[in-house]
Amino acid sequence: MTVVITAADMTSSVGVGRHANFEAFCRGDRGRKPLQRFDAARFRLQYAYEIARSDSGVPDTPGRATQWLCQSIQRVLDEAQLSLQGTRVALLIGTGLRELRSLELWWSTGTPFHVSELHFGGAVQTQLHMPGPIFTFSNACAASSVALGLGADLITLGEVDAVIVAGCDTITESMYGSLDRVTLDPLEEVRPFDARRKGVLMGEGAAAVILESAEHAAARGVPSLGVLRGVGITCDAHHETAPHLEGIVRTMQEAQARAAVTPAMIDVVLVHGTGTALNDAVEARALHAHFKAEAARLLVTGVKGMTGHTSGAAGLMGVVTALEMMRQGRVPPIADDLDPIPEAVGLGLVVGQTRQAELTIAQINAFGFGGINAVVIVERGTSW
Amino acid sequence: MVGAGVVTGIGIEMGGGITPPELLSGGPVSVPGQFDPLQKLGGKGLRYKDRATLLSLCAVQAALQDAYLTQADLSQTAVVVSSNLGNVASVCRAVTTIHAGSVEQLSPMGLPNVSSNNIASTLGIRWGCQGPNLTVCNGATSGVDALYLAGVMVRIGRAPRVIVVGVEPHDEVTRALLAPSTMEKTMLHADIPPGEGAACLIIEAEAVAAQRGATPYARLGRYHCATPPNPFATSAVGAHLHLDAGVHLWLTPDQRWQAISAMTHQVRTSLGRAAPTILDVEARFGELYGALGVFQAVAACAWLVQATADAAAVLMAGGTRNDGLAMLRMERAGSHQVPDTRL
Repeated sequence: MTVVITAADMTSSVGVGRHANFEAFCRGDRGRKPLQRFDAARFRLQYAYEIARSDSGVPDTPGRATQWLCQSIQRVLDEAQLSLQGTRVALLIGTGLRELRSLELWWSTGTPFHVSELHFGGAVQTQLHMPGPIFTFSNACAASSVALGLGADLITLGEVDAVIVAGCDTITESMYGSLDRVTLDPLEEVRPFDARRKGVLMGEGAAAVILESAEHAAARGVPSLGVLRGVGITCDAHHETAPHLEGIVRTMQEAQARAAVTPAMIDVVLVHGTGTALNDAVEARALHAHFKAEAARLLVTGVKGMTGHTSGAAGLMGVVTALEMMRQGRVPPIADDLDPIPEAVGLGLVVGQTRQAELTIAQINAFGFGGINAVVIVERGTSW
Repeated sequence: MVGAGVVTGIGIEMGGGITPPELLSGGPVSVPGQFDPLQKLGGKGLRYKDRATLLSLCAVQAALQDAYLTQADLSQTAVVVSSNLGNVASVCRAVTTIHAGSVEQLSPMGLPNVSSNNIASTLGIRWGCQGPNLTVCNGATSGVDALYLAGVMVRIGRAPRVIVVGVEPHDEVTRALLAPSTMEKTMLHADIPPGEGAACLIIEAEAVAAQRGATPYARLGRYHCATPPNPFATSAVGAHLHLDAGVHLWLTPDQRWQAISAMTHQVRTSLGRAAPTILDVEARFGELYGALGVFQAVAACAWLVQATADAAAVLMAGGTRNDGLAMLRMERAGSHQVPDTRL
């Protein structure tokens, strides 16, 4: 069975919507700004990739991840012209930090909060009236890619006719502070795959896609943005925070096996690329180890230099970006300028200018805390 | 909707030496018991693990022993954890520390605990499980949902075996979070206090279990969810809940909330002599929230092994606290045809 993607949307610190974000990436817009919602005096790190606030004068607003999630879901429902009534549908939401920020506000300032608001089902029900199951997964930085894989599985098994897969995250003070605590040298921006990189900074946002079987989409007469060829999901089972080369390679192998593709068929890789010493070195080595002679032919880019690390939402944001790359035949640069890490020598990193290329198959990497790995393979849609 | 797989091992950790068969007995409401993880697990590598993780490690260890599995068997195993409240205390305490001073006062070892997948990743690392690793934080239905999703992983061939855990801890943050609001107090049938504990089931593809000579407790059956605003709204409540012939045990949290209590009463009345035995695990052990479905499944297994060949149980959780309702049927293994399971 072929699973297709019939709508795709994302929100980040550089824009609202799939097109706005893609154009922002091509321009190299960065969402980095001084801390907006935390008391900067309590941190060594002073920057993040927050979505600009319009509500000054209050400590912070609860429920922002929920709000972006519902808006993104509504946009993909509109794009796919999918009616929820009469469709067997499920919603899978992958998040790293769910509404822990709202929990923090309740605990520290008494902002009203109900335990059911930690996950997203109640709010989505109230706003969108979903008739089927809604699952919230808290699965670190691979969460929304994992949700995508499980969503495709539900369609393949015939459990549902359509799946909305979404990801959303806001920055929590506890995670931002804990990362700050272990950062050796306070950094000011994310520089994926750059020898000058000094670590990760957090970002926030949301993404959503709609999955259906190709037959279901055709019967509804809607075009597909792309084909979800396969998702590999594994666990390193190695370390709580550090990535593991063998585990990452294994995930790429599994994804490509499920997608029935060989390394030679991949045109572009959107890396996880967090800008940490460990991730980028290990990820680059893994690309070489897996692609071998094909590595030189790959185009490689990443978006965390623009969006920051958007936690669980990152994987799906990458998928949405990859769909647009293939649709337009354009690859946005990973950075304006790059002093590439030695491990990345020989990889076709796109730097400075957007690269025009005919792209058929893209790979999107997501590697999370706890060794949770998810690699997505998507193919360009043909119905433009 | 149907997952797949059979249960080959069960284990729980609630402190006080409580064992799975004791979930079936009635009795007075218990308070969270004495829990000493170091005795069961040894101290190595545990110093910075939170309470929910320690409870889970104990429950998984018990279930693996029950299933006659060792680490050597687990490299392709998946891990699915259901927990809403596992790390809420870590998150809140970190914020309190930052606000009292700065990030300098945080422990550098606290980083894994402020991400809610810390329990599942610890379990994966502890037993070398390289299959999918998933944390379900889905409110009151989360435990039942986790069992369904584990079955999906087995059926689609992502893993031949899944360690499923449901866990909620008890601490100053969970106590405040679960305390009923003024409005919720009017909806309560009985004010059951928060409980805590971890429950674990080992789910395997039926052929995998058969190949290694494991004797299954039960088979995972049909999953169903009913959504708000009114998950109980149906004219044929019995059919809607799949309480058709052969369901002898219905696990439902009907002691706490009036709405569930009323529904249970209505179903019992309508089914008359065919009504199943009803068991509310929370009545004795306290509110288990995201862990409930997995505790119910352990109780169902303890019951099914002693039941007749055609016995079935239905787990039910949710329907309140803005959550939908989720139900899962479990059958005595060997009583039906083996479903088409891709390995």
